[in-house]
Amino acid sequence: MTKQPGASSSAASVLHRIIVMLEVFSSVTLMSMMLLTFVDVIGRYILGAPVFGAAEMVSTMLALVIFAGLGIANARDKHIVVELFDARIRRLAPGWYDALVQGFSICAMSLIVYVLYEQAVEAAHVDSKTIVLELPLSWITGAIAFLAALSVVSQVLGLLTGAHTRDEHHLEDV
Amino acid sequence: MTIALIGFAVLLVLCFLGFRVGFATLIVGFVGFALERGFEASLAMVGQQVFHDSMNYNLSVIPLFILMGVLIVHARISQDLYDAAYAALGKYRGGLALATVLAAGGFSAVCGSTLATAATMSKVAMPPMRDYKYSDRLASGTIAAGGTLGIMIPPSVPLVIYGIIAEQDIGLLFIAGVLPGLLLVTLFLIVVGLVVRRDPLAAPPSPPLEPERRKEAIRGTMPVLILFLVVLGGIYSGAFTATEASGIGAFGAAVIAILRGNLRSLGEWRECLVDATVTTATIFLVLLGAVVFAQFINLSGLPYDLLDYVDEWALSPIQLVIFVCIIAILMGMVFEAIGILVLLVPVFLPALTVSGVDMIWFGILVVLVSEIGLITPPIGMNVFVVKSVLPDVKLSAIFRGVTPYIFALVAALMLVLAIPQIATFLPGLMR
Repeated sequence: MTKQPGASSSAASVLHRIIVMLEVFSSVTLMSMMLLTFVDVIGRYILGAPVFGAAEMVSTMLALVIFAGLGIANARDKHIVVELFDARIRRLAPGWYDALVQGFSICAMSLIVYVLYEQAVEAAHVDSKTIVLELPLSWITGAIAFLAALSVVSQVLGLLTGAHTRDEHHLEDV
Repeated sequence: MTIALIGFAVLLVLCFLGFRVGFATLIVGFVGFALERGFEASLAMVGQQVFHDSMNYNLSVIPLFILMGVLIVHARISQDLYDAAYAALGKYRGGLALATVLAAGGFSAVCGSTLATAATMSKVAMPPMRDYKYSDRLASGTIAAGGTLGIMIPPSVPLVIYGIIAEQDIGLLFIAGVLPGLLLVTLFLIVVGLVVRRDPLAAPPSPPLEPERRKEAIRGTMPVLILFLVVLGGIYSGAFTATEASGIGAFGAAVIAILRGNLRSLGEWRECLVDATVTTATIFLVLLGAVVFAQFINLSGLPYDLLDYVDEWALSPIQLVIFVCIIAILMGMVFEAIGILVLLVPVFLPALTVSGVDMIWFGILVVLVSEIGLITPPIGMNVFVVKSVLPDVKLSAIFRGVTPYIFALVAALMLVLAIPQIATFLPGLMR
């Protein structure tokens, strides 16, 4: 399983760009989510004027944050893992083990992309909109599906470039 | 029922082999549902669950409370908390260890992350304990155990996840966590006292804090106290929902960090926001996998078969709760809080509900059990976190150090089991 240095470095460069883009996008979205929630509460209780459609905007931002975050988490393989026997099993054939475990993750993520894409197509077909702001659901679901697809790309590139570091799993962060 | 048990077995094997928990639960749930209802139906179910839960307004509480915790860590407030706790308890034997417990409790009140609490306390509390020749066993054990307070004292992400799965009010759950959290702090303080009495050399005396530093530290902790009171007081008084409180809390944490001279560059902001985003994504992946898996389990009829067994065995509600807690303790040896919650709660939910178990009380019990899992072998996550921050301390010393705290946690579990009012009294006042 040897890798071409040129191909590997260009893959690393593409992965780096994707991660930077996702980091900036998710940071702005999460920050906006925090500010919007804060302004909505202050508006409601102090000024008597909540932000119109704040809950829908926050819901949309939540989905965008999750799937942008998954792109970063997938690239670095920062997922919850039960680290009991895996290190010993991996030592038997590290290359095959990584391919199997990461391949499984890629398949699972691809399933999410597919079902979200189907949801977006369905939403476009029936022209469904959110209740308050009447935002087209097909656009929202489509954006989430796109981010999920990007996370599959970052997963594959992470596997190819070795960005998945064994010691950095988020075993539990709460 | 058989297919559900096979599903659980496959899931456990995949997890033990090192497959990512979130992806494994999602795929096992998808395949299991497909075997029962067909491929197309399973695809539709996964699509609806993923879309619905990733856009659930009530779940926005998760990233915002995580952000609040990350911002509080970046506010570098832990040193003041520790010094203020030492100012209060430093005169007693083992004062530095007592201060560690109190500071961990205070930090948990605005952080909500057990790992962040353990890691931060390792950096703040270990150097002075080393300086005054505390035994590694007492020092590291106290830090690892103190970190577990992070998931009981509100805000707590596992309590949010439990609330979502069990369809319980998150605000009530937070309020319910207050007294058990205080009980745990008290029991941990008693443990320090007993350990020091048994082995005085484990904690040689240390000098009191200088008066100037004492005042400075107490002043420094005021914003944390105010933030905690605003967030929890807002929920308790009904002024905010938990989701609104999370937004207020995150904003307040950002203001505290800025006022303390941190978060002054875009790079620092980005680091915090990305950290919170990635943690959110990993938690949601497990959550989305779990809801898909739960659909499969519900379809298999396992929860209702269990209901029949409860009837057949004539289990009383308390016997049922003890039975579930024992399973949770066994799971806690392998899985962490979220794993226990997402795998265990949906299965026993119907049986517990029909038996008339107070689900707020049960939520506190499950989180208590998860806390035990955080410091017991083979996977005591907090122990490993302390080890990673303090590589020169032997793992065996940390595990020996946490042992008395495990007894304290078990005692707390038994107390909350025997006296449910410890968890239900405050929520009862709100209802």
